[in-house]
Amino acid sequence: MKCVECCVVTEMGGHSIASELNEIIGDGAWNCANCWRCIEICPREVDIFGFMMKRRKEEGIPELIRKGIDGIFRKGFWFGDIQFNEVRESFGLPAVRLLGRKKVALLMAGEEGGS
Amino acid sequence: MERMILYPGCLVLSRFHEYEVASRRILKKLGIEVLDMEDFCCCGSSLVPGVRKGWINLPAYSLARAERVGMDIITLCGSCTNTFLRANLLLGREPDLLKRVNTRLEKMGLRYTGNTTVRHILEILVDAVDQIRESVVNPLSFAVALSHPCQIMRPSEIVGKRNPLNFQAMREIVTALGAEVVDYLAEQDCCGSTILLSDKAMALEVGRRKLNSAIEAGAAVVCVCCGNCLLLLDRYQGQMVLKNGGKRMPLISLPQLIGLACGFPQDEMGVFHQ
Repeated sequence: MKCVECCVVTEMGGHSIASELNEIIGDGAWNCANCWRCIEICPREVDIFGFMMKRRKEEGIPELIRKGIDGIFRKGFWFGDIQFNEVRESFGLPAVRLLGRKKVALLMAGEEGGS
Repeated sequence: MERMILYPGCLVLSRFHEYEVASRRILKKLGIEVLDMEDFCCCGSSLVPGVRKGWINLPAYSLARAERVGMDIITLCGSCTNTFLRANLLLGREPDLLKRVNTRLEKMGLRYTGNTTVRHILEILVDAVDQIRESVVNPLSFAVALSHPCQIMRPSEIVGKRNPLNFQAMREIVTALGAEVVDYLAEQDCCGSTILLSDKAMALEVGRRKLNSAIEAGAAVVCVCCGNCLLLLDRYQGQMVLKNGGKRMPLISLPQLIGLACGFPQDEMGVFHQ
């Protein structure tokens, strides 16, 4: 089996990192389900992860992913809504305190650039 | 009683409370005292694939917090698990990287030496499968299709698993609960959840195909053990056309399923909320 044959995206007729590996360069760098079956079956031990990082840098970040990343840099949390503790309490779950902007900045300041 | 830190991840702690409640309840039943991560921070999984440099500072922070209290981490999501394991591997291999990360962590009064073990809840549950089997009071009488958490299985270079293409931990546990595990064509396919942000139509198509495959095989319920699987297959299911006579395909997390078989009240397992 080849990487394109085990990829759920290419199986659906889509363009993915697996098809990009087969020299069909286009807009598939972000269409990866992160299931990593391709890495396991590749008989040539191609650095698929490294290739994906290179193609993603070339293609740029999709808007929805950029928004989530901005949230991580601002508050260390993926989602925009952080008012979840009331619902957690209704399930009997303990409140969660987020790290907070100042401490996230200590971790991530200056890391906003590319990979 | 063993003590471990529970790291639910952004997705589970804010969206999938039933999964978290059941996980805590089952871990307690297995003799594991769960403590919470103070000052929670994203694991950095979305930054890993070449998006931003410095992604490793995020998992390193949580690993360092756990190391400071001498406890290992339990995860509920495949992405978080994969990211923590990748970070641990790199920090162990590259002393200069560890030094750079520690320069950041020291500003927060933390330091990491690489001694925090991270385990996804499925690994803990499968290690306790005999204890789970002995605790079953209501053997399950319905057919269950499994959706395996890809990112705790692969890449084997990172997660170190055997059988990366055919990981059977969920099957072993669900069988121990008395349920019939249904084989279906798309069982080993990823649910497609992580494609949601780059190509939503494609993600829905991948999820639809997986659920229809389980329906065609006669499954009454799909069992998952990852927040990402829950996100696409449960929350986005309404946007898929299923071959299920207009009915929803019920999704349930593995800890909830174990709870039902072990006689925990349905409302305590969050089943009534779904």
